[in-house]
Amino acid sequence: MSGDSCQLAVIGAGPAGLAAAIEASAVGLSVVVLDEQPLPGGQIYRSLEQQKNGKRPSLGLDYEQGRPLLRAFRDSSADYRPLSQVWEVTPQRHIHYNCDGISRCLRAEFLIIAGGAQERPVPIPGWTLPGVMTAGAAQILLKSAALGAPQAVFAGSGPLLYLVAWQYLQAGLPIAAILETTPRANYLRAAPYLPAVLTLPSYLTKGFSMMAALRRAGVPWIKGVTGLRAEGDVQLEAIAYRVNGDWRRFESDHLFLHQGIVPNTNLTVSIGCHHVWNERQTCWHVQRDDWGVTSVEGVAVAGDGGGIGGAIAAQLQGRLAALYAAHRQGSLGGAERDQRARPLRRLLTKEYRTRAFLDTLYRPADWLRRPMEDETVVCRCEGVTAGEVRAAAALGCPGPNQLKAFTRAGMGPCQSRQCGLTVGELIAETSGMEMAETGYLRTRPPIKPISLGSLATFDDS
Amino acid sequence: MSASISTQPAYDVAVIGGGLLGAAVAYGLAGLGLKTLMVDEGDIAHRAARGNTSLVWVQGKGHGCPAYTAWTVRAAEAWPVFAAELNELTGVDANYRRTGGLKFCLGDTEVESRHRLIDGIETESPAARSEMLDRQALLDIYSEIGPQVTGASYNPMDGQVNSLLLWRAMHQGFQQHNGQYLPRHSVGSIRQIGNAFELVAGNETVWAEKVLLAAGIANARLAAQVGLNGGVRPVRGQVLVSEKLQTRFPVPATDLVQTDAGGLLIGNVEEDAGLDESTNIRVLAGMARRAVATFPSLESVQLVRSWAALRVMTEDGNPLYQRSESHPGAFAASTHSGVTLAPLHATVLARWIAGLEMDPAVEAFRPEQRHVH
Amino acid sequence: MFIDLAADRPTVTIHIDGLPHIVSADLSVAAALLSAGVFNLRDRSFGGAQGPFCMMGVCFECLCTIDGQPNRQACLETVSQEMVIVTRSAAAAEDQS
Repeated sequence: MSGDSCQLAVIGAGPAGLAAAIEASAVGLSVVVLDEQPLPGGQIYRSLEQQKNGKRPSLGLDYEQGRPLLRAFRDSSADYRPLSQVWEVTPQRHIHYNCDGISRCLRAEFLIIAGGAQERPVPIPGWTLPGVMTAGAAQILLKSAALGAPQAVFAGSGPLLYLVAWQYLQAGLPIAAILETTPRANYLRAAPYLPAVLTLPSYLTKGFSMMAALRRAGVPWIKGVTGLRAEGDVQLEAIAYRVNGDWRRFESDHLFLHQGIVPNTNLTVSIGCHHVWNERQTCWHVQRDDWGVTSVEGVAVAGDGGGIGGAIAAQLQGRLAALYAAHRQGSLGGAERDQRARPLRRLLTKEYRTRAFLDTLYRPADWLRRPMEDETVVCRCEGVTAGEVRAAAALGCPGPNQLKAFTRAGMGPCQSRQCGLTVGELIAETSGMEMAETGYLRTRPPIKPISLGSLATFDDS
Repeated sequence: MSASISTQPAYDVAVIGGGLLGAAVAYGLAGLGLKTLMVDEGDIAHRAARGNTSLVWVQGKGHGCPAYTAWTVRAAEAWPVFAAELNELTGVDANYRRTGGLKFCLGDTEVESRHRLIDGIETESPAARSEMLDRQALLDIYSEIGPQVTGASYNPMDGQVNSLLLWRAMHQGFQQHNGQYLPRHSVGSIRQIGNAFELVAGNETVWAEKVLLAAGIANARLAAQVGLNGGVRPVRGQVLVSEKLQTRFPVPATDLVQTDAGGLLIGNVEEDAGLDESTNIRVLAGMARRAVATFPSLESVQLVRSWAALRVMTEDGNPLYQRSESHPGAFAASTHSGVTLAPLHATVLARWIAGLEMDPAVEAFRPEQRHVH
Repeated sequence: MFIDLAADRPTVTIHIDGLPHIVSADLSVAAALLSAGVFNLRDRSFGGAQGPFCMMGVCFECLCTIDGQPNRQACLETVSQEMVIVTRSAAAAEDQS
């Protein structure tokens, strides 16, 4: 316990973490990679190493592109520790994690957090019914478990929604419908950013060909949806949706929701890194410089965990943070670090060009950020509704931390991962504050559960 | 902008601080019909109110200060009526229960030292008598206690409440009685001008005939402005929170309380840590070890949260209620026991500040009345 | 209902709430529950019927007792031969009996 240390610790084995580990170990740093999953790849390359296991449907070229990265990682000298769940990181970079039911501690001279993103919560009436899941969950089941649900309804907005629907199509699964909530006004707002996207034709053709395939297959695609409800008693039975003021219904056991993805901020908040509200992505971003270094000494963030940018941007950011760490540890001279960084930054700028278009086009509709029906559950863990949150906010709660004390929203095991953004939005709506003013929930360790018994065994003598 | 001496101040009382003490007194004052303003800081503030373990506690209190023991007993006796009235007014049930309470002792040394303390209190205050339970008697309450637990002290007057709902209810009751709440404003200066106090808080300036400093550890910086004694220091309390459990722990203990939601609050070690609100893993691990020693079956229970909060500690540990001589109309109140004393803060203390009665029980906690033992 | 899309995979036998099921050996416990048709993991009285939602460890709704260890996130554990899984809805029903 006392001797476990390294020059660079990387939390997260997705594209950002893998790229950082490869880059850093190549210049001679001792690198440890901690990840809670059993295999590397994060979400986007999840189970990629397992895909030869049985005859599986195609998941697309972007997915396959992860193979060289995974091979390079396995070939590197990085110390890879899967099934390791980080539950605390101190500002001195003592990393406490669970592995095999035992609490361990790793001390790092530099830390790159590559914790990635999660699905933005989509609070609609009935979204807690069994049978309602995220589009990401549908994709995980497809990739890792080779399981699919015939006649499911896909509802929401954003590239991942269409990608998963297309992957379902490739797998031969019939789709009941795609209910698209992208507000019509977003198309106009996004138009000025289109020229930048046109300079990357492969991006556009990929998207268009997926959508064309879905249309050719006759998948019902309903646009301009302005209301959604999941209906059922103990399980999902039907999905009601509103278009042009009329409510209609699809019967189905499965609903996959999606409204884009947002950075996982619980770890960086618990360490004390400063976060800022990003109005374009409508979520909180950890504040970082152009190497990825946060407001906490020796801690950098790479990848979607710092702001949504996609898998290629994640790898580039991972490499930049690793170069910074290498220079800081004395393995790389300043001039060499900057020289290696230059082409990476050029590529990053290219990647960022599509972001403004995507963020604007797929910005969630207001009715999905701020559920209008008071009975909609906001805090899934504790069952706190939108009405209860609004009532507490109306008492003058200065922010989400006080509101958590008054309503229990955010006190459950998920530690506000599913409710934090919605709570902030409802406080802003009720009080007339801006999101940047309302602030965010101060999550604390353990950021993943740890048993009393394994905490009791902690010993750093 | 300045107030002329002949202008009537907008408020009868301005209460600085919206924590358990401030909210209780403000709720009481507003209920008496006084025009009351409660000024509060922002969402991220040193809030002792978020740092308690929901206990309404009599045992072990006031050793060497019988006035405090009596005050605490009086509070415990006032709780049922207070909780019922608050529920009736606001619809918020803070779920106060007089369950009796325990302090576990692991080993003979702890038993002896605890025995000495409760004997000492009993000598001074027979009404607050706690009893020592040996292991056999303890097994009747909790059959699953660990082998290291040799005994406990018990008091039937102890109990628990949902302190967050209590806090919320007092805020709601205050506003229902036409109290004005001004959050996100930290008071910078207080000046007495004629018959009024001028408070400057951020971009707001307010005037009130009387002012109560109930700002927790911030009282230290505000008190001198109105001729009062700061007299408080922060102590850091750390707590572990478990997932909701199906098994019940009906009798709360000083270091283990099951909330009405079902989770366990474990620990509450207190230490001097300045203004450092971060949790300390060595301390948390020690608390975890003690919890597992007390109830071995808790080993597999998952912890979902931990927190550390800066609580208020006066110099002698007893409540401090002050009335300013140099600035008549200015008051300050500080206590470690904002939950237990809430009923008295909402009634007796509010009436004291309103000038309706000079209860000797309150006067006993003025700095001038402190005796050196 | 979830159907299996990959043929020829090795399988294991697991026990869900006392009943044996044969599932693919590479599934997470949460995926195995879904493939066995178990959608409701949480008892109504404990906060409402709920099932796995995110499949990636951020929603905490797939908590089950796995081989005696309570409150494990089922989406982060892989099945193994003779694994014993008890869902919270079953555990609650047992407590009340």
